[in-house]
Amino acid sequence: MAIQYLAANRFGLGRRWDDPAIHDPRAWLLRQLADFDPAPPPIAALEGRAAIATAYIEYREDRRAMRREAAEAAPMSEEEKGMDPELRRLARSAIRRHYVDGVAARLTTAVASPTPFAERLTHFWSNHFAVSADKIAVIGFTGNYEFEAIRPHITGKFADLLIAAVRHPAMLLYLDQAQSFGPDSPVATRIRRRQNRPGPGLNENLAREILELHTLGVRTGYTQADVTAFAKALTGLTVAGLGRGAGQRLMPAGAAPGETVFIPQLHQPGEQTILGKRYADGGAKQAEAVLRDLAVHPATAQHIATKLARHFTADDPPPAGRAAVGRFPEERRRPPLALPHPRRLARAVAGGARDVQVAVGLDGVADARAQAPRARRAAEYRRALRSARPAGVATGIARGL
Amino acid sequence: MILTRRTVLAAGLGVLAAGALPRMACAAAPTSRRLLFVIQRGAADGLAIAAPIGDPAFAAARRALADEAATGAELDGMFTLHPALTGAAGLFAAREAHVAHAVATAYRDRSHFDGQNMLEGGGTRPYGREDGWLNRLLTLLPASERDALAIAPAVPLALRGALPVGTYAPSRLPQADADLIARLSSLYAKDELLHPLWDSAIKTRELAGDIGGNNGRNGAELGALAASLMAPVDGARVMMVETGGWDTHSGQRGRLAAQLRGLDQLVGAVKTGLGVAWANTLVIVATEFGRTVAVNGTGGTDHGTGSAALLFGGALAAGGQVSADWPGLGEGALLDGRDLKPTRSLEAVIADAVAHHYGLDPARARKALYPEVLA
Repeated sequence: MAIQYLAANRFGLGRRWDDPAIHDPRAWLLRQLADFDPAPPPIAALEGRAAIATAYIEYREDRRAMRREAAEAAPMSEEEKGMDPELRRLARSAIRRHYVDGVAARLTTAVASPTPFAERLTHFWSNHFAVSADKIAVIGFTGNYEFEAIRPHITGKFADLLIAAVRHPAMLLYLDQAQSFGPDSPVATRIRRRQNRPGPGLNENLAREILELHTLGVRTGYTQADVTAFAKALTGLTVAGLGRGAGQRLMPAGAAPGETVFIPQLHQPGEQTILGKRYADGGAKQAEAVLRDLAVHPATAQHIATKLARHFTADDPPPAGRAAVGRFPEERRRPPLALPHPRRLARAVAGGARDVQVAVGLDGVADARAQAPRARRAAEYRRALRSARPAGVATGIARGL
Repeated sequence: MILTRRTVLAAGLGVLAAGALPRMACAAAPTSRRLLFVIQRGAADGLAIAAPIGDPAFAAARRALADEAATGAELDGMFTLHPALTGAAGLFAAREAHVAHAVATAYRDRSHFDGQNMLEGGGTRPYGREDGWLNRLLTLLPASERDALAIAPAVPLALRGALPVGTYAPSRLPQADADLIARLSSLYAKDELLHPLWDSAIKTRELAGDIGGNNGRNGAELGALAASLMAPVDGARVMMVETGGWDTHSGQRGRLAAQLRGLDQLVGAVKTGLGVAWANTLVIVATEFGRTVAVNGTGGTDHGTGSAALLFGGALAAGGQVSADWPGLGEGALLDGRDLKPTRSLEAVIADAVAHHYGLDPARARKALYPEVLA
């Protein structure tokens, strides 16, 4: 009986008083992935990227005007130097409204969701591909980021999720990609030559964090040379309407503000070698090819499988749980595998792969009891209890069983 | 802690030069020494904090940022302090500030998380230790000087370990009224486990006073909050505060100036808040690694290696000096062709500063704080 409550807490957002009883936790989880609505009404009602970008552009224009008027700057946030506090608050309010609306829509959706397991996965992936609202340009986009880059992909392939997250304006702005130019790109070369000064160039922030945080994970063997080459491959990706100077004049006609664009004249020409593999220069396709390879790299599988197992089970997930979440029965013949596709995760978690049942939560304990021979069952049961945290929950469930 | 004749002799002239010997006399009695560790999370740019404008390669590598550096206070023939660090410049002139340059921990890669873990843990590999150097320091101190507190939502790794420590995080929520506090106090009064915890939380809250209301955002307020927690007779003696926002990949000029202005005010507020106790206070400011020597393509700097650490206090061993075994910024001198090459161990800088401050035998302090790195 208690297993049902545990399923609601461990994999969902807790039980509402009027929730129907969960008779079959495994089916309950799988059904949610099929029923998941990426854009329920509170989210569908929000304004899109163009409105968010416009709010930021207007804010920046206000700020510039105020700066011109302000004689001496009070030492405050460097970005807002010289702005009257009241005017600053007003100027920011349009941007903040997008943020606050996004937070409200996210909360409303989660509270009302008939698919809380899918909401948990959304929150997991938003956290994995974290952006920060510390930068003013990013604030308005944070809600849109989760709704348009994360939600539509949580039941799809990891590679598509990765590419959507990396290409969203929130990520491009947060990790400085929007202003990173190929050092030998046509634009940087022209500026260098004409103005006889060092032109704009590379920023390696996004490239490093993709390797360290989003895909392979730290200490998995990539080098500084890989980071630099990947940063070069990523150049050309930027956001329409937000920047100033050279980049903006090259925006493709008809690109709406806030739209992700690839500008060939900003891209570093030539082949790049990343993790020992050579990537021909195919414009935007070059970085995409790297991302697709990173998405199916074994280190990525290990990294993300560990995070998932940790999220749903314990700070120190048992090795069996990590391995099994990263290596699913149907994938065994296809190395280098291993994406924790959410559907597979759900199946693994809920009983598709036998070794996961024990590792990934007490849901599996019941299955282990039903399937395993008596002696092994007892050992696995004890192992699962030891691995499950917090201890109070584990003990409570054990009594329930 | 009392230095024995043998340990002094064993440590040799270094101890005498560092001025530890005169402090021995007062080391036996409980004193009111205070230590504050300010961690700069995000890799602070040591080359902008204390700029080597005397290095012939500096101007070319730093471009516009080099012009800015030229306007800062001169520290010696080689270095200037960032122009935003006006208070620190005054402390330097008064021999209450010291810059240790071209320093790094044993970490040689470029991940913030791993780098911070090693700066705090003080081991030789990321996640190699579950305790931190500040907690290990506590084991060397007399019981009266072991009260340790972090202004943080959870105990940072540097303070974790065998000895108990506290944390305090200012809340933005409205304060609970006195009636609620009183009711909770009576509810917990007979609870063996919760009563002491509640009691110490209430004590901390009272120490923090009104300053705690604003989430410690501004450097001056954070410094004043730290000082208010350290100043009282029964306040914290070892303290850690966290600062973020140092990861200046783009538009470094304005962003770093704002950060350093905050740091400058933080240190200034600590000095003001501690009053006479400043004479027996050591402030250590350090970051996980430095930033690239060259400016990147977006007016910022990327992850590097060597950086600078700052020491402040009323009784520094070498106040008013920059210490560095300067490796140079010429092309051949850089680490991996891009970073300031670290020529000194940050762990040694910290251990020696702490040893001087508490009158400990430096060899013993090094071994206790960094058993693997400085073995």
